[in-house]
Amino acid sequence: MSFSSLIARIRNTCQNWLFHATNRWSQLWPFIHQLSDCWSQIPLVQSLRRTIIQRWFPKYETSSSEPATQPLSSTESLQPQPTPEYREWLSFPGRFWKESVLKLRGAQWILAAGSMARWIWKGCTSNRMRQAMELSTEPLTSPRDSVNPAASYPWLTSRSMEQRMLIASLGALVVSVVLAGRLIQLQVLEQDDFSRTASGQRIFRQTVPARPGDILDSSGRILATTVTTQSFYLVPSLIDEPESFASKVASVLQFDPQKLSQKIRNSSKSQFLWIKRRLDPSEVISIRELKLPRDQWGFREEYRRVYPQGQIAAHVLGLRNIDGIGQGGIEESQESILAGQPGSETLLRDARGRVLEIDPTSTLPMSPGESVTLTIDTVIQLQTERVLDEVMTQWQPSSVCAIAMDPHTGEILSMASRPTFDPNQPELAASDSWKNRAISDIYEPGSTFKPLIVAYGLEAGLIQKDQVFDCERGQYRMGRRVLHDTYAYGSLNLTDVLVKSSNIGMAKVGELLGNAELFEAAQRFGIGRRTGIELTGELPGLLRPLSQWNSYSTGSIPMGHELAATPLQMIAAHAAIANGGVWRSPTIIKAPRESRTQVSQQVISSDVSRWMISEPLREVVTRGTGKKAQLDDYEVFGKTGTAQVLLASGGYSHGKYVSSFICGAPIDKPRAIVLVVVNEASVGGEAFGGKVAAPAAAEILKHTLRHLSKDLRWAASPAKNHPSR
Amino acid sequence: MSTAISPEIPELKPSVPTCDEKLASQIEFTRTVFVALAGLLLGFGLFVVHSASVTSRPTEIDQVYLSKHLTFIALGLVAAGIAAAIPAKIWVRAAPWLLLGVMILLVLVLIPGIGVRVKGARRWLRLAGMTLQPSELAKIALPLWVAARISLQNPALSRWSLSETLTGFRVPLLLPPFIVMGLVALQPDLGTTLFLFGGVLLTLFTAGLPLRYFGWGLVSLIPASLGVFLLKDYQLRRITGFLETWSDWREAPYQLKQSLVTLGSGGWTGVGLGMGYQKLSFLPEANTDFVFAVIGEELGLVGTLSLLILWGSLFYFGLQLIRQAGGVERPELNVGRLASFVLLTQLVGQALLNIAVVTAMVPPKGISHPLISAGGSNLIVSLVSMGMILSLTRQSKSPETPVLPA
Repeated sequence: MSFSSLIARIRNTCQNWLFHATNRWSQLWPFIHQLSDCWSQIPLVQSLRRTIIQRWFPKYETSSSEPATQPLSSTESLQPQPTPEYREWLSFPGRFWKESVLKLRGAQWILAAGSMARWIWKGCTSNRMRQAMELSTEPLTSPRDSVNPAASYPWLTSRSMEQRMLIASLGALVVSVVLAGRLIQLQVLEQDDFSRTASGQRIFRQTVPARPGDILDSSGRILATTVTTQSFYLVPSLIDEPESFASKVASVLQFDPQKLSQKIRNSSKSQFLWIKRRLDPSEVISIRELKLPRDQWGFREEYRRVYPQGQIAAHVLGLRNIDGIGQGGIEESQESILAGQPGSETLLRDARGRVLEIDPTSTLPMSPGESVTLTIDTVIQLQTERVLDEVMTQWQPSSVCAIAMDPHTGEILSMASRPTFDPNQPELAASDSWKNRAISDIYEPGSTFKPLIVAYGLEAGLIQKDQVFDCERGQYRMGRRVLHDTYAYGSLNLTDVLVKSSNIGMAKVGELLGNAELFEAAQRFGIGRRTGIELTGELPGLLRPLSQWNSYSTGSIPMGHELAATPLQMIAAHAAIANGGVWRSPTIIKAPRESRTQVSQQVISSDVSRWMISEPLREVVTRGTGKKAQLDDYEVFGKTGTAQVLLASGGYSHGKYVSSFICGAPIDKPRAIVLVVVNEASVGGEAFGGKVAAPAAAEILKHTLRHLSKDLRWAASPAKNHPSR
Repeated sequence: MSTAISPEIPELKPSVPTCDEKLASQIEFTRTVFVALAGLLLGFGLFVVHSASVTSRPTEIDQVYLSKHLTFIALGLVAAGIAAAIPAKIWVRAAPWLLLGVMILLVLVLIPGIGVRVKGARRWLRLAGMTLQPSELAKIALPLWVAARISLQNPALSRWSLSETLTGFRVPLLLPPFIVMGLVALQPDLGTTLFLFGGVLLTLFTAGLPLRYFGWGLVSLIPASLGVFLLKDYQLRRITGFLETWSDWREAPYQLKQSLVTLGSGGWTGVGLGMGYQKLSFLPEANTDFVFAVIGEELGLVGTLSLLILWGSLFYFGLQLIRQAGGVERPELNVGRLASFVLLTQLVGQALLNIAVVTAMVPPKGISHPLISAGGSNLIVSLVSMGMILSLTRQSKSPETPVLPA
């Protein structure tokens, strides 16, 4: 097949198709006329249309715009006439689309496709049809190929050139087909892979951190809250000159420019580098004023935990680390309430990581943390801390802690420990300041343990209130061991055993009770197990199992030796004596109620309880070892305690004492009970509890009671304002 | 076109279109469709360039590119109009001078201070605020000259001779092409050099250079393939990077990878014109060399295949144009047919080459999509070569007297 005949065939087919298509369009003309009469009235449009028809669709022209006078018949006789089969063939697709396609259902599609294929096949193969097609436009038989073949340029004949052109065009056709195949491969077959990559590199799921809840004191004062701050980051990959950039930034943030530029250089490939997080507002302003190139840095909002009261109740509150996770105290123990639920959002980024838009449909909102209200009262806490600071300067102990508690409810009113830290500046804290000594430090309670044994003995009926004990003139041999009292006493009644804090008297009580009952007494008052306060780091104390006890223990336990307790355990036990005999686990959370874990148990009768505080414990303060705890306004009951410091190696260290004092008031219905434990007071001679701890405890108790009664007055005042009711 | 009928002679039958008349109307039709297809391509490019110039942050850059592109189109259309109006004879006669001018420009571009150095290559001349790429002009001038030169072969010879080809009459046939290609290779611009070489080969092939010469050329390519070792570092990296792409597209160089991702994520119908994300920042040169990938993302397979079909139609109607131009009777038209076939094939070939680069079928090469890519010398040169095709294939005159049927 020669090039020219191939071209002619293709051209004929195209023209037939074009003619057919214009025929279809021609049916639209009346419709367009109806729609806009004026449009076709415009002479310009008319002439334009005629020109277009004449130029491009000359076949159409004869049927519509030729004058009627034109003798058409002769023209038609000369024009090749399409066969009827050809006419039918031509009209098929029109009918097909008009009548069938829109109504097709299911298998009809297959039939329709079959008839369509048949139509194409017929058009291609039917001999009569082919004749008709070739006749419909006269084939191009230009004379130029046949006439004068021997031109003066034999190598540039049309025929040889056309053959070469055909080869070259076929090459282009093959290339196009290959490219089309490649496009189908990329865009259809592998589309999923590419789409995933494309969306993966622009879509970014980002968590929206939840704002942690506040921590409030019992009257709603803020102890810990959260503010929004700006954190400063760089885009190291876009920074051309780390030195000059670093020196500018370093001057504002007081960094070492050398180290900073090294840091930028080390991560020069990365898109993100924190420089300083949670800036002060003034630092934000001064960084903005540097006018650094906009692409190379940015601020990101982050939450910063703020403790507006400073050091107040630092150990109770704990703090949040750089990633916003609670560590220590309420922050850790109530993390589930405070933390809230972080949300997330979908960001669309560009190649540089800049956010273009946020997809609102996929945003999960964050739910902020709930606040926690403590039973701590800031005013009482403040007084407690002041007193502890005074103790620290006066006696210079290694550590000291204090707890104030409402004995009836078990609510902690204040809890403080020294040394301490400022949660706003945790980086400045000393390494020994983290410990909350009220719950995480154990000590031998010493004499403060004695009332517990006595109360239990009375409750059990093993000793009597008026029982008299011979105190052996200060020396008493128990087996291989000789006990001493500070002063030599003769016979003392039970009250005086406690008031004088006689070790020999207590040893005799111990002999009356026996090891099993002593163990039961210690257990009943909660020694040796955690109280269950809602703080982290609480220790269970140390109460050896009964099987390890020996005859030695019978003398030691009643004096508060051979066992160790946390200050919180001791105050909880004494609260049971003060409140009518109910041991209640101390609590520090006022709200939400659900997170409050409190259990209670009647350990002694209210009679014993009342006798204990109104007789021996009151007299400890009025005439015994705790005279320094006397207050002007209140009758105070209390008990001193002095014990030698336990060494880590076992045994006791001589000359180092744990001095403690527990006191409460008023006697008829105690409203507060206070414990002060002073560890290793280093000045002022022997550190008796009555000398070192009692004045401090009394001071705290005084402030606590005053503050509580002030609250009472306020609570009562509306009634006074309306005497008519 | 119907012939005028004189009413005074009623016995004269209404004219039936004669062969030549029919031919003339068909030529008219072909030329119109050819121009219309070029216009379609231009318009298509205008849309896509505007869409591909959009940036991630709201800026006026897309407007700037649009107005630049429109300016280039306007300039190019004027140039193309002039080129189409110049008679074919003048083009053929001016061919040597055009080639000389291009050679001078190619020398100028190599001189530091005149040529602009971008990314280590001197390819641009800055003239009155506009940059011009002389190697683009060489794409027109070289095939035109070679075609004209072949027509000046000794007519007494009945067949090609090697000596005639090499030393020949006045100027050896192969000398100027090698000078031009050498100058382009010095810029350095390996891609355009190969493109020009391909153009010259196509001209010789179409003009009927015996196939055995091509066979010899192929044999001589074997030692030339050792020249791979002479390639510069960045050229080698391009080729190795390309080879890696075949096994795993994720290993491809960044731009190629993004090009494939852009193209592939379009699917059947694409994400819609102007809605693509890749062009915003991930795909470099989104509105110039890789505009085809943007078409793929925004208009999908429908868009890319339509563009391919548009180019195919342009090629087909261009062939029609060349075929219908009389040759033997007017030998100067044969030169025109040869030159316009080469110009047409170069134009379509560049489009196919661009698609092949974007789809990672051939090693990456900075090649723009004619009539589609934003602005630049290439747009003007493409339009001028369209004008030249129209000029070189023009029928000078149709026979004055209608041949009436007997």
